[in-house]
Amino acid sequence: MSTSTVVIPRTRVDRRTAGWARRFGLPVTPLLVRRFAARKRAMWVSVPFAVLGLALAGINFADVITDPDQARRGMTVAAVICGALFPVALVLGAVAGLERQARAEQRIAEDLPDRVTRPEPVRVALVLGRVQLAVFLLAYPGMVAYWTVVVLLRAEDRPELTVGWAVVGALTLLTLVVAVGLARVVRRPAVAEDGSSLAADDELRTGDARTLILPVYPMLVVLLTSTRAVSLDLLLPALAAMGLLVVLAVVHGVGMLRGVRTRAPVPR
Amino acid sequence: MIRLDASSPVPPYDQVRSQLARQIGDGGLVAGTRLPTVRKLAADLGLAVNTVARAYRELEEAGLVETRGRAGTVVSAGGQVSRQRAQQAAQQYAGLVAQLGIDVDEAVRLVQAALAAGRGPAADPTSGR
Repeated sequence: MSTSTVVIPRTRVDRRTAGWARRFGLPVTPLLVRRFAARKRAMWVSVPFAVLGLALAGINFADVITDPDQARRGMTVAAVICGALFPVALVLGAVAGLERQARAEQRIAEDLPDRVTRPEPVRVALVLGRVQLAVFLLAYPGMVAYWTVVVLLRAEDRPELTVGWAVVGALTLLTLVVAVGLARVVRRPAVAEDGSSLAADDELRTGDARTLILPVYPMLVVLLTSTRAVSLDLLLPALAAMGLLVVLAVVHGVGMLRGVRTRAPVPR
Repeated sequence: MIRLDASSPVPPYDQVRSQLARQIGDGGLVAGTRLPTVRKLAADLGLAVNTVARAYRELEEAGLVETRGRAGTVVSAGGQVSRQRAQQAAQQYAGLVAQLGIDVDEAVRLVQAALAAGRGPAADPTSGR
């Protein structure tokens, strides 16, 4: 009597996928593995943006080093734009990466024999959670409002006013890019075939949204554009507030705040 | 949760309609709950927009949801009222059956026959066929 052996190919699970699933108490399914693989590939889209941003920051830094008189003359609008382009390029890279990722995941979803979703609309507050939504509002529109007031009240002459408005413009541009990216993440179609993959979809959506709104970006804009344009008594409190927001966002995001929901409850 | 089974012989619009109708009926979706937009639900389930629009239209015709302009589609109070009225009618019927001394099996058979005779678009507004 002859025997034959059938080898069932096992899905390769990388450590990142397994660790993520363990953290959220979710099963590692072939769908989750495919999603993480697609995400890994999509991440490369943001690399050119980051390189471009770094190059711009390098040019800006070299300009300051080679021209010591620049610090005395004060900041120019060109220097503000050059400084702001670094964090804006980082955010644009993140948004482009998320966009590519969403398209790749949609192709995965199209292959699913069963699709599931929730009968309720998804809202920003539900995806981010109230604490992170407050962090976003304070760090982005809040900072635009703060610098607008600073420019209106403290700019003494025309060059100061011009540079001040350039800083406000850079912050507004950053806020708009992040808001558009956030809306795209919140509204993107669910990729789920059952209850557990729908729960995984929720967590991935929340993770993407929180990564995008991290208050490090507006903090970088303020650091790179305002150091010589605004007096220290206005700059330091703003930077301290943004530093606190960054810490709060990270600490809350990794679930270290006991008793505070990291995410709003989603009806099952 | 709404599940779309691609291998089911039931048309997709009917799967969406019947699942939403069931959830409204059993109180899973209470009156005033906003439903996702037609586009969002269609994208989530991989359906054409018209398919979901048809399901919503039939739910609206059955009085289970209502469209409130920019507020979108919300669950109307009609779904729960209909259920309460059906429960009251069932209780009255149970009382009458008990008074007349008809046994339970016979009473259930009478109801099933009545339902079968009355089944149709007019008698079953949620069926959509």
